[in-house]
Amino acid sequence: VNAAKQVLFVDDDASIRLIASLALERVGGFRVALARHGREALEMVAKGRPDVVLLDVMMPFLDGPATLAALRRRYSADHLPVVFLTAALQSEQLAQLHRLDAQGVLGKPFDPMRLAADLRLLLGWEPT
Amino acid sequence: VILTDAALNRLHEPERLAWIATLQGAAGRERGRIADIIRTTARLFDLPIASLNLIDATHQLTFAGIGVEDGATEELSRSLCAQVVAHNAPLLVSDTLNDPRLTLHPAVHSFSPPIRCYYGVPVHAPNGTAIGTLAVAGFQPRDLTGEIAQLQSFAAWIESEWARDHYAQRMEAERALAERFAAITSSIADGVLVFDREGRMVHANRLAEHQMGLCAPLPPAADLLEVIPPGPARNNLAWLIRHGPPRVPIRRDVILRNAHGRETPIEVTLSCTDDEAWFVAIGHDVSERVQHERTLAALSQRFESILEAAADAIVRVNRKGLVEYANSAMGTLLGVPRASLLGINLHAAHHHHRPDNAPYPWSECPTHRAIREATAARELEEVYWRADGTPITVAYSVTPVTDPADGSITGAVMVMRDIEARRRLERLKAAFIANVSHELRTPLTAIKGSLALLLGDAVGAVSEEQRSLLDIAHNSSDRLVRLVNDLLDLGRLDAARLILHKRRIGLGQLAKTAIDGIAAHAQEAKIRIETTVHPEVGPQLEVDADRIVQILTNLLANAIRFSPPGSRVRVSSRVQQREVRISVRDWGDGISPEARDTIFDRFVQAASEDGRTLGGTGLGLAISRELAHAHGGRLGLGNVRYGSIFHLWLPLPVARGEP
Repeated sequence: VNAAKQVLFVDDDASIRLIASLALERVGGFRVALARHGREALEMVAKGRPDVVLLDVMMPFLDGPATLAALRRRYSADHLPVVFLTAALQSEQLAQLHRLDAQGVLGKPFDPMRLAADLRLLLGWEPT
Repeated sequence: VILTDAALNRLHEPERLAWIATLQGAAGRERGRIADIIRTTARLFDLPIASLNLIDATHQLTFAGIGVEDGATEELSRSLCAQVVAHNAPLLVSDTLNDPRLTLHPAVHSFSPPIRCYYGVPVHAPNGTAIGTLAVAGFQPRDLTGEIAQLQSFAAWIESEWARDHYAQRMEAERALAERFAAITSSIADGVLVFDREGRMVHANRLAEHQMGLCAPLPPAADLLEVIPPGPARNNLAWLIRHGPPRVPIRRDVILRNAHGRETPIEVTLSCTDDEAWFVAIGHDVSERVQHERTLAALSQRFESILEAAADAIVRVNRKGLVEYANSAMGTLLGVPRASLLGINLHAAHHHHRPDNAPYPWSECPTHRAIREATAARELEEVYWRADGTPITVAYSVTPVTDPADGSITGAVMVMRDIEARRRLERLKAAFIANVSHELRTPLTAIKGSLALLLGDAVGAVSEEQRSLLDIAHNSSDRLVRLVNDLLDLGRLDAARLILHKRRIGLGQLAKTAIDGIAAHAQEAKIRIETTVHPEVGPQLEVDADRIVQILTNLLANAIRFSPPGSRVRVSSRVQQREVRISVRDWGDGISPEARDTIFDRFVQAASEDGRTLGGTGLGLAISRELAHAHGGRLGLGNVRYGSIFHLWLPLPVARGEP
């Protein structure tokens, strides 16, 4: 009855987008939409709200935090959870991200076999 | 009878009395000539008494006389000659007893029989003042009125004798004085030139002539403007003659071309005599002083050019901390013009507070210590304050300066280097490393992700052969990720940019976190981790938990890597006085003696017996040790018979009196 949840994966690197879509669809059983940067992500969210946005931090046009801020102007965290996926693992940068109104931060490189499970754990969703 | 008070007063004139004293001291030869004149006078007038009487303030003194003894004295009241002098006019009496003024005058009756006729004319000193009387007298009445001119001629004769003597004496005295003066001036080492207001030479010693470039002695009264060669000496002279005597003595250095044609620095002091009639110029040869000054200036200029060329800031202070020298780099460092540093108290102006804004007393400044204890200090890190109030961190060395004469401390020299620039560079380097690491992560994420999907059969099954190759690729990418992480850590440690987020946490909890984190890996390697550290009990520390876990994880990972499958790794702890020691022990191959010294160096890895490096990055221990130091602790290698043991010492927090 429950349709698979939809993840909007936003990253400027095509390889990462492919790996993530495989990890989330094939391994994780999500539906996946892909965006190349923040602006595209906002356009896609406007057309149809996903269940979660998995957001890269450093991107052209509109970076992760700016995208989050734009999303939060329309959707509260309850309506649209956002999780950062970042290669910046320095504690100061992580602390900065945690202060933003996102539901979590996952690190790169991520293990594609575990990505979906980690995301579910973070958002408190039932494991499949 | 005749002498009025005014007339008497005239007899008291000091100049008159001085002349009388001078004439009385005349030599016998001169007295003889005067006596001849008196004798001639007496004979010519055919009278028994003729005398030259000097009149001082109280008495009449007979200088020479006929009918009166030489040297005889009379009180003024008994002197007719006093009348003549006092009034500076002849007194002519042909018959005293018929003259009502003199009938009873004691002078008339001081002779027996009394004097009947008296003729006296004033005799003047060379300056024209009346000082005595030439008088003739007789015991018979006699009218000599028609011959008075002759008496006056005799008086004039006496005067001319006196004048001649006087001028002769004066010239002699002047000559002697001039000789003495010349003797004095020729013996002194300075040039002496005396000249009048028209520039006529009064006196010059040989040295003065030489200094002014004259080869031959100056003739007396020479016009200096004509004889002195053109140049500063003549220009100054012309100026003086034009402007008159200076109000205060003038002293200045002039370069004069001397008689040998050599230019010589002369310090000329010019003053004038009290009556402003003469200028006196003293010329002091200061070549030696000027030479010294030039040498000194050249020397100090040379040293200064060296100090100026130095990129480091160099400053010298005296015992009180006042700046005696500062190079340009010092001014640049503190953001002030170099010249404005001279004389200021460097500590008070630029070193007054510590980095945490607490006051920094001079007594605690390393410079003060260097001066007080005569000890140098090298490469201290000190914060100075620029003129605009911003702090600047410098590497600072200070050396006390001793007086070579007595060895006492006269001040200190400080050398400072702005290490902000170095810091900036380090930050730049760290940022670069961070960037590179970040950029490396993206392709690594793609590689690792692809491999993991393949290995996880997410895109279809792979054969065993394919799997083993994919495993190699996957493990290698894992290592690359670790290497990138380590590089990032190291970059931050180097830049001292690592911020420790300290909090209170139990050692047991830290050990548990580290052990739990690596448990899966240990299990895979078939290593059992045992610990004597109870997760709930044990000392409380004040540390950055993530960083301590990082150290312990690194030690555990190393221990696991170098342990044979089926063996164990043990974690234990012991409180030692003010610190706690955490030990990680394995029973692997151990570390060779030659490797013991280098394993904490960067990119050094202990090799296993077959030469494999077993997947380390060679940075783990270097980073762990830096992290331990950052906590005020240390990391070291212990001695055990089998395998190896690493100890991590961490300071226990100081008790704060709380429960």
